[in-house]
Amino acid sequence: MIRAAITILKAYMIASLLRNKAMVISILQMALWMALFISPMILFSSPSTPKGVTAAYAFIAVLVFLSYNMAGWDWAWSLRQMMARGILEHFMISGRSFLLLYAGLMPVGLLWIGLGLGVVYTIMALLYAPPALTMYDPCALAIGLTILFTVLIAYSLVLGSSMLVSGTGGPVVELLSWILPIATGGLTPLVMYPPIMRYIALSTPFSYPAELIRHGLLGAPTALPVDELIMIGLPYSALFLLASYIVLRLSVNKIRREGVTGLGIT
Amino acid sequence: MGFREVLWAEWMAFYRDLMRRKSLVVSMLIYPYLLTILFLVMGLAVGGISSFAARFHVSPIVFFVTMSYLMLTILIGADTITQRPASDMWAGTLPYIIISPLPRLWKYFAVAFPPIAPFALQGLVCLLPVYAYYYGLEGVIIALGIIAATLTASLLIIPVAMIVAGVSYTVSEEGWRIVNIVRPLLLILLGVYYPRYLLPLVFRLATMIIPSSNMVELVQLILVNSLTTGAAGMLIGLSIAVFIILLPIGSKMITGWEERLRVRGVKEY
Repeated sequence: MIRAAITILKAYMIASLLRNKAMVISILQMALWMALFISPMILFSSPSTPKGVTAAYAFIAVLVFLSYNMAGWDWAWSLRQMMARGILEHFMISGRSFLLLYAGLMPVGLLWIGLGLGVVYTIMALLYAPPALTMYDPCALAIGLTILFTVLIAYSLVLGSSMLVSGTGGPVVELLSWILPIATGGLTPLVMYPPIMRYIALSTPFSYPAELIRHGLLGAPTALPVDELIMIGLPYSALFLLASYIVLRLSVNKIRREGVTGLGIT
Repeated sequence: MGFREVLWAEWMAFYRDLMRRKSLVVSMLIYPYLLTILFLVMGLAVGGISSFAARFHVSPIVFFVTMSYLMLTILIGADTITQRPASDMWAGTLPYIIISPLPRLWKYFAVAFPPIAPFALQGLVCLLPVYAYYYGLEGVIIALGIIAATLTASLLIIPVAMIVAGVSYTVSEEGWRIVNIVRPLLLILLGVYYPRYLLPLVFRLATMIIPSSNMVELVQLILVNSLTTGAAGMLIGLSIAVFIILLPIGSKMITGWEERLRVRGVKEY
């Protein structure tokens, strides 16, 4: 099983990093897109806020945004691509689990996030100010990252399952990649949200990791006490993961019975 | 075959594709708002709406809805042209296209018009309500002016896009990879989200050779209520002058790339 996951990892590594200078081109591309979307944040900065703090908030917003994009476009979308290329059935009859595919994909996605954050940090340091990441609470940060990873896997499994069942998903992934981080406090501390939006955000498992990461890295104020964020966030994300796995199993059973939808559509 | 026939053929192809993918229409309508919300929420974390309004004397909602609309409209004009060679290559139609006698300027204008046209409607749907809310009846007139300036800006990008496409596909068979790097760079140089007067000097000078960036500045001056007749005349004049200078260069770049293909052959995918 581990060998199969490593084979998948190798294949994706070669395809997305090594082939035709893909890594160099993608990093350049990412740096420019990030510069385009981060620069307007500077226009909002208050003269009383140190530049490093402004840059740090922007940096964490990018971290959350890139994470959702990776879970949607890299992990979940891979199922859609397999379906469009007509190889999903071959994968299924090989008897391997979709989790294995995800296990092979995840390191590549995480590597991209790491590279992306490095690029964003460099751009900010060069053009504005280095993000003042103070490591205020390393324990909260570690737990926040754990919850974030759990939530991302669960999110991509749910999204992947919906693609397996419906056969489409591009616009859904596109919209979710934008709306989720905005609506669940991924980009801004929840204390700055109106009460109703804060309540909605906290009712989803997505808000807890973002709050913990911001607090861990910057000491940013949180909508709930940190221990409560951990006490709710950890079991909530675990439950979400369990539920998403059940959804995936049900979806796979459904397409085993009824066949793959949207075959060959790109 | 004249320009009218080519334009009609391109229009029908685009229209049928649009009707097939209705989600595209929905995306077109909501994207300016989505991008605005994204920037506002991100901005909340670092200072807030009042800091922006105090610095630029315009509501960030008006600014970002307008700039997002501008960006999307210009981007669709540029993308349609820069991605056409790749899609012709993948569809297998490139060998027939490069032997056709049609003037390349006609072709690329005909290619760009149909996707830009629906953005007039998008402007009415996206900008009019916002401007009417903020500025009343006067806002409707301002919005119509901005829509006209935006559509002009997206047409002015055509020769730049032709140059980018010609150079990229000449340099590499997988020219679309280079195009993907140039896309965000072009948007930075247009100064849509980060006004060009705030850019470093080298970048500011580079913006001068992109006709659409002058129109972007014109719209930004309208937004902050600082547009004088002299400034408007200068920006429009400069845009048109650069556009006219770039037209033959764009055409030359495309024909140069096609000439190379005639000698070397078209790669099949």
